[in-house]
Amino acid sequence: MDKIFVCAVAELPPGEARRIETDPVIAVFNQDGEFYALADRCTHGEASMSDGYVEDDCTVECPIHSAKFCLKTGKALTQPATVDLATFKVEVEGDNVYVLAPAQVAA
Amino acid sequence: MSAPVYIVVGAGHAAAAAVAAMRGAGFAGRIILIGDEPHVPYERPPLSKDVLLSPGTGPRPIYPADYYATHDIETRFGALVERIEPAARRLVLADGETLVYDKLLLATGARARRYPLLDALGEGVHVLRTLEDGQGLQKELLPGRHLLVVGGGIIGLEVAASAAKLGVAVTVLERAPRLMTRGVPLPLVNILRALHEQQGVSFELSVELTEATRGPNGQFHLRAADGRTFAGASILYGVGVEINDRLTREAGLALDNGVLVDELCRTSVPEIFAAGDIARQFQPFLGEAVRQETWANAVHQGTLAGRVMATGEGVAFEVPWYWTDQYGINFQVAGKYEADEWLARGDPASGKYMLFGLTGGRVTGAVTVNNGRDMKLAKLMIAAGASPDPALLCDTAHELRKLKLG
Repeated sequence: MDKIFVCAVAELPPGEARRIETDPVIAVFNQDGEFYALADRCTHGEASMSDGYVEDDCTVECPIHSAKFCLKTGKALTQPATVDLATFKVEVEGDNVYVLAPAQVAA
Repeated sequence: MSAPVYIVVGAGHAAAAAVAAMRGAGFAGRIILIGDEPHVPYERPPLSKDVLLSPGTGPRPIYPADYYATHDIETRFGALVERIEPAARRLVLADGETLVYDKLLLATGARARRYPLLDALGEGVHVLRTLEDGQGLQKELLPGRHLLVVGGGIIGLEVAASAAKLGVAVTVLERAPRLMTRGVPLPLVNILRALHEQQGVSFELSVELTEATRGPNGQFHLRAADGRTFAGASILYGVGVEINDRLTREAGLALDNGVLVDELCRTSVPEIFAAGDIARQFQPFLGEAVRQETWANAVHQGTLAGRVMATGEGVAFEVPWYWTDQYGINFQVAGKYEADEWLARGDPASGKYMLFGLTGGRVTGAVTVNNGRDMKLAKLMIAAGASPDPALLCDTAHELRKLKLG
C-alpha cells in the first residue's frame, strides 16, 4: 500500500470532493465528516465522480448521467451504471487526509 | 396454484428497468421479456455518439447479457407479438407460441416518423432509432463528405455534432423558424446553435421541402418551397416519432396521444400497464399529462411499473429531466421549458454554468452546461417550487445548497 497525501482536512468540507491525479485517478469525498475514496472515472460514461453530487444517504451521483454509487462500497446503485467503482481506504492523520492506494496506483 | 406470470413487451430502457424492479421488489413468479430487436436491451443514447464516432461499436447492454438468466428472467429477443387477446390475457407470437399472463407491461416504445419524400430516395437516407440504423449511418460519415440533416431536434443536433467531429460537412435543415421547437428552453437553443456554428455546422430554417432527387453522381438534391436548394451525399432525418401502439389498440386501451396511464402506470385495463415513450401520464411538476421521449422517463416509468406490478406500491414522481451530450459537453435540462425569464449562474466563458428558469418568482426549469452537480439541487428547487432571491441565485459566491428550498 502507498499512502498518498490528499489535502488538509479543512480543505475538504462536507459535500465536497477532491480529485487526486493518481493512475487510476481517485476521488476523495467528505460526506458529513466521514471521508471516502472511490475510483474517479464513472464506470458508465466519461465523467469525473469528483464533480458529482454527494448525497446525505452516503451516495454520490455522477454529474453527467446521474448514476448513483455507494460511497462506502462503490456499488453501482442506479442506472445507467451497472459496474461498481473501486474503493480505496482513507486515513485522517492529524490535520491531513491520506488515501491508501495499492502500490500499482501511481501518484 | 401456479406462479403468476408477468410479461413485458418491448425490450428497451423501460422494459429492462421494469424487469429489474420486479425482481428487486422480490417478485418470485415468471417474468418473460419479449422484444422485436435481436439484442439484449441496449442503451440508445450512444447511437448518436459512440456508435457514430467509432466504427464497429456494438450494442452497449443496459444490463450485462447474463443478467436475465441469473435473475430467472425468460427472454424472447427477435420475437414479434402477433396479437393480443386481452379477454383471455393471452399473447400470440409470430412463431405461434402462445403465452398467458397475469399482468402485462407494454413498453413498446416508438419508431422514427417516416418521411416518404426522403424515403423514396432509397439508400443513403437514414433515420436513427436502432443499433443497425446507427451502424449504417456510421459507414457514410467520412471526412470531406456532406451530410444533410433534416430536422433540427435533439437527434439531428447530436448527429450533426458527431458528424462534424468526424470532419463531415453538415447542413441542418429545419422546417420551423427556430431549432428544437419541442422540449428545449430557448436560451439553450441559442447556446447549441452558436456551438455548432463554431464547429462549422450550418443551419437553414423555415425549410419546407418540396422536392428530393438523386443526381447521376449519387448526390442528393433537396429543394425547398422558397427555392433554396441543398446537396449532400447522405441524409439523416429526425422528424419526431410515432408510438408503437398496435397492441394497445388491439387491447382496447384508452389512447390520447399515447396510452393513458395513471400515477402507477396502470392503463384503462386492470392487468395491463404501460411505460416509456408510449405512456402519457400526468406530471405534477409540469401540471399536465405528457408523453416523454427521454431516457430518464423510460427508466423511471419502467421502474415504477415493475414495482407496482410486483408490490402495488409506487415510487415518488421525478422532475422531468434529460441530458444531451454534444462535442463532449454535457447539457442537462429539467422542469418546464418555458419560463418568464432565464437567469445565468456562473460564467458561460468558463464552459461550466447553469440557467434557472423562473416563472412567477418560482424556479420552474433549469439548464446546466458541464455542471451536473448543481442540476441535482436545481431539481430539488423545482420540486419544492422554491422562490429564491434572484441575486443570490446568480451569485456563485453564494452556495446553492444554502438557498432555501421553500
